[in-house]
Amino acid sequence: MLVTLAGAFAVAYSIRFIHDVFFNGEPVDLPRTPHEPPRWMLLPVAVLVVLCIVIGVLPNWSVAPLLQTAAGAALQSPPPAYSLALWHGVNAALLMSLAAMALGAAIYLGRKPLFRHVGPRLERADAGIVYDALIDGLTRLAGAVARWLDTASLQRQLVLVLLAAGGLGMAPWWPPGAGLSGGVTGPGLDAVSLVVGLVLLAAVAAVLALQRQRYMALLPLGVVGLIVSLVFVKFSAPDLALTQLMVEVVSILLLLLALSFLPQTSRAETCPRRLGRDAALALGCGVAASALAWAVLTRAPDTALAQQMMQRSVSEGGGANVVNVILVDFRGYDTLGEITVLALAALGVFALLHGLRLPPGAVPADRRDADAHPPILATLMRLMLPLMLLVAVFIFLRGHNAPGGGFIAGLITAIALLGQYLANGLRWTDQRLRLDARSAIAAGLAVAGLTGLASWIFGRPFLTSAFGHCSLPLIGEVEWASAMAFDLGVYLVVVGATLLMLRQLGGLRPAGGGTEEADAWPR
Amino acid sequence: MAALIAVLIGALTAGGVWLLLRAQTYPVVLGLTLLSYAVNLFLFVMGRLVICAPPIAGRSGTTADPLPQALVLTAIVIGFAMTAFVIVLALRAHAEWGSDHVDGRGDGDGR
Amino acid sequence: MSPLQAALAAHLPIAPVLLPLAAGIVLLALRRAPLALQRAVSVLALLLLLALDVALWLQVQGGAPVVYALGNWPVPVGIVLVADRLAAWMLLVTALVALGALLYALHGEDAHGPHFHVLFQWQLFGLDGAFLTGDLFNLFVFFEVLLLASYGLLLHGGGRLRTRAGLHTSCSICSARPCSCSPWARCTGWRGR
Repeated sequence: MLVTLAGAFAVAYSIRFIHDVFFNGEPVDLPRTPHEPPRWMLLPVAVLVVLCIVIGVLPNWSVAPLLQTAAGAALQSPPPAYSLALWHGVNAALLMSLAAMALGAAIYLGRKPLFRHVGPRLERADAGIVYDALIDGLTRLAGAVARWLDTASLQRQLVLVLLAAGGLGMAPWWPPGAGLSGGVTGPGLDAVSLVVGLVLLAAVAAVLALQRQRYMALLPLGVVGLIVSLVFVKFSAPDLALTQLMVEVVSILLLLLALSFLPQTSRAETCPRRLGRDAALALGCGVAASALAWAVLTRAPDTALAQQMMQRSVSEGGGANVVNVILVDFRGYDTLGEITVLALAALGVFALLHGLRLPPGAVPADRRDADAHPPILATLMRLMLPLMLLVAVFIFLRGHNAPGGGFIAGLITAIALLGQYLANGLRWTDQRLRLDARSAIAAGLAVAGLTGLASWIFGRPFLTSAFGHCSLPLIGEVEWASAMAFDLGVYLVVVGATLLMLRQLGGLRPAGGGTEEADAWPR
Repeated sequence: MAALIAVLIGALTAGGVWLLLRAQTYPVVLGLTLLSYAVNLFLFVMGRLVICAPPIAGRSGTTADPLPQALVLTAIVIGFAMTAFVIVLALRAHAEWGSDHVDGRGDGDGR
Repeated sequence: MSPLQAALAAHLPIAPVLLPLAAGIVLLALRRAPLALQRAVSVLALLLLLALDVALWLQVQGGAPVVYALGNWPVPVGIVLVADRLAAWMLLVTALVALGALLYALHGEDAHGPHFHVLFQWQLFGLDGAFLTGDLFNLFVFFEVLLLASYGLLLHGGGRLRTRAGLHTSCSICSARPCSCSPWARCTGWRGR
């Protein structure tokens, strides 16, 4: 039908073209008088005309072989059977052609009324208008979606992230009915654990309740950290417990320091709808996390890899503390990346505090305690410094065979040194502690990297470790491991990074800009 | 015991998320801290709950899985570094915008 | 080929990762040196990295990916690097884009804040490490490296809008970190199912 219609229009404009050009008299209103082209310019046209007539009248004789080759090449297989001829008998195609010609002639004959009535309407039906409207609509839709997603509001971004994560995390259990519990029961609950768990819940509730009185919220936060550390102890992770304790101390110190430059209390939130939405989302995420944890804990683990690591740890890694051996030997490359992350965070903090101008009223004068450095505290910290450093060295040296290691030792050293800053003030400590934190970071990374490179000398891949025994004159047989040199690198980076971050933060001064020497940390 | 641990992880997550959605930077940092406790615990219990059997070679019997412990150890230290970074960033935002709203707005309410 | 060339070819997969790390360490040690020296070191390191990337690209054209076992440990116990053609292409593209960015930064951007070149080199360390690794948790670690370096570079130069954008980005990504940990943890914890 469409083909016939298209054919009819083709006939109509062809008839108009032929009639008007050749048979409808002389042209009128021409700017210039055309003339016949020279005979030789008509020659190419004549060739094409002859070809048209010949191919149209005698297709099988003229163009069939060419068509066969072309169709076969396009289809990549022998073309289907067809026949080229002018007359195929009276069939649908012939009737369609006749109808098209008749309709076209009719359109041409009735063209003047058509031009009068349909012409103006056709001008308005411009496909361009439709197209423009479509593009415009799509652009506005895209803009609306972008504005909705990429807002300047952190909270909305976080809501989207949390919804997506929670949804994806719980997706395997939709539709409900597939078992959440795997059926394995672990250790039984004892009374002490229950009490400790309840204390943790109470502490979390206290943090939430006190979060507007910012200083007060740090107390239950410390309790939460301590109980997490106890959880690590209970479930056989002494290294983790030590690390968590040390990190807890440094974190609280950090938050206290930062809080002295921020407003002391939070403003009240007045929109109950938002609070409700946030509470619902928080509850949802909490339930999702609980469900996932429950699902994992009630399924049996795959212990093949753990057993392999335990077996290889002494014989091929040279250490009995498998966690430390994993960190500095089996997966030392990971640790190299992690200490780079530490270094980057420290440098980032340094860059952020560099040239930071606090608002002039940031630390009110009445907050400065007259007795900023009580002598008892100062003396005690000075006495404890060698003891703490000794403990740090002990933890470092035993790390390969018993709980300990570079991370924990580094944190203990950092706390010892930060204690000096706390007790004795910045100027006093800086005069005596000639430690350039950034040099320590660079040295630590260099030591770790060079330890790895040393194995290239022996033709082994990067970070291949070695260990052995040697006898020292008075001490006896000592076991050494190259992984301990790597651990030394870790130790230096941890000390340098922690010290850099907290020293810079402690050295901030209001309205003086940047960091300066002074003899009292603001409290 | 598994139920207790699951509940604790859920409580820490819920508290962390609620604080994360507050309008001021300091509660957001507290929320990130709680969330990092939750995630560290979650990763740790992937090794299942084994009581009093630390992964030191030479002990008899089954010990705890050392691999999640190693990964959580680095996660704890990195989490501290990230907390430090975010809080100093919050400090800088406060200094530059004059307000500790997460979007830098100066309006008085908690919106 | 000479022993030196053989050694280089054997350690080629890890070279594009170690070079920016070393360059960053050197630049951190040189932090009080004149900016011109730091710029020279940075550009030299990047050109060397480009050469290493081309060498690695040529090495993997044979079709088989090159596997490098770090610490000489077999697969589940240790980490392996896998350099296939996609990784080699990505390394090359990274180095070329970085070269353009560095040359632009040399016109004054790098003096707006401290440690630009250290951050830049360690950003490349993170990127190259992420492309070459064959271990899922290692990928996560290198994501952390490149993310933190990118925060540092994003906030480089300061300004209110940068600070706010940086705060939003880092909070969003820090909150997404636990969310990405959980699926990973499920993968490893779930093997016993």
